[in-house]
Amino acid sequence: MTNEELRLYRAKLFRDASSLEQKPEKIPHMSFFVTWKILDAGYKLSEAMNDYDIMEKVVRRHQEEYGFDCILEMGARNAIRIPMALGNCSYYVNDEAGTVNYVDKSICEHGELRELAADVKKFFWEKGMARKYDKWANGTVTLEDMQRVVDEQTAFMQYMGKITQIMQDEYALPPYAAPKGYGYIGLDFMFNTVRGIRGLSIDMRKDKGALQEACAALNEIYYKPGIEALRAAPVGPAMHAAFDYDLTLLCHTILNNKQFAEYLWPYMKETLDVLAEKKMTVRLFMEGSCKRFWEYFKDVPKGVIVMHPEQDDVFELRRELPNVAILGGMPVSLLGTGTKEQCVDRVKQLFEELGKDGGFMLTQDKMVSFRNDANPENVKAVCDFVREYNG
Amino acid sequence: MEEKNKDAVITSYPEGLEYLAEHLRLPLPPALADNMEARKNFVFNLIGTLVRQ
Repeated sequence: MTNEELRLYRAKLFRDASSLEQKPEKIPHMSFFVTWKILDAGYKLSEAMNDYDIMEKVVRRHQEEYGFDCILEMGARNAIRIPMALGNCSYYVNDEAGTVNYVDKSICEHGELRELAADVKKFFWEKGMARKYDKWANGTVTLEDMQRVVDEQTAFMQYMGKITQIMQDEYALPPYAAPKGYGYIGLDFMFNTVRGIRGLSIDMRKDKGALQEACAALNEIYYKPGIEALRAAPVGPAMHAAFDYDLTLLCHTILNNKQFAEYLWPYMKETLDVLAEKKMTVRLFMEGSCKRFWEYFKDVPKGVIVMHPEQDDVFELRRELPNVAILGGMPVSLLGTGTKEQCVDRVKQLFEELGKDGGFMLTQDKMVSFRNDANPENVKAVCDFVREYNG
Repeated sequence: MEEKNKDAVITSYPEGLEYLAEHLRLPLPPALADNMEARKNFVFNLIGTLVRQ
């Protein structure tokens, strides 16, 4: 098989598994290893995160060592060089511990929600930026600083283009996703960036009206244009990629059913409806547990959702949502502290119970980040087993 | 001194957006290089990225 044929074959494995109509020739295996692969390659986090040549070596080595069918993260997760061009960033890299922590700092106070709603651009520009960047706050940012930011973003985009091409051409890996538009749901934006976990929890209780206005204003800029672009895209999946769309959500973790129905589901439903109409597939990663919301997905047609559960049980998911394909199943806890035999036995069980009729793709249940998250010998054992499995 | 004074406008909106859109070297395709709307969109998207980092 040529590299191009292998790449398309691997993409087809994911597509067939996602469809729930066609059993793939073999069960595909995706890498959800993030900063762990830097440490596994023997580099410090700060080395790879600040040097794209080193990050390229890390990603190459990761595929050479383990042989996945797709790699989700190729160095984009923590693009710290861009914000550092302005002098500081929200990430704290601890090379000794091998960890990256993110400072959960809200850029908007509760009492400013209506100010944000009135003019998102002005708010982000004047207050948001000042709360994130010291130079912006003390008014010393220069044109030269901002040119450095532009240049760092250009360098980052060039790296992403280069590594994607390398993994396709030299390693025959399909791209993870090929979205034709992306709608960033306002409430998730509030959770991730604008108000943070604590702030949003307060807003939900104290002033629903102001929160709704703020979410609506964010949706106008960050959600609607993306969904319109998706709506305008031609019908049909991007068969050269594993999935068409990625929906990673965190805000649901603090929502009760009523709040989910009001703030999040309308946008998720709209996105899923457009994807269904376009015959596209979404990898849906709702961090933590989303089991209490599963009923919402019962009527989504087969072939649209590939759910990647983090805490929820994959076997229960299959029973409750037979219309949803499953990506996941390999607990990071087992990769880190289990034996090789336990890890392989887990994969056997997944393949036999979830993969025997299609509809299953293997990956890790969480972003594999820290050194002790996974024992390389366990990862190798799993990868070798998957490659040789012919069930 | 004059350059520093001009830079003082960066943190204000919309003056800062217009200033940066006019003076930054942006990686836009040649057809859009002189399109002020495209330049402003690029700069604001960059701010959005910085806010989300």
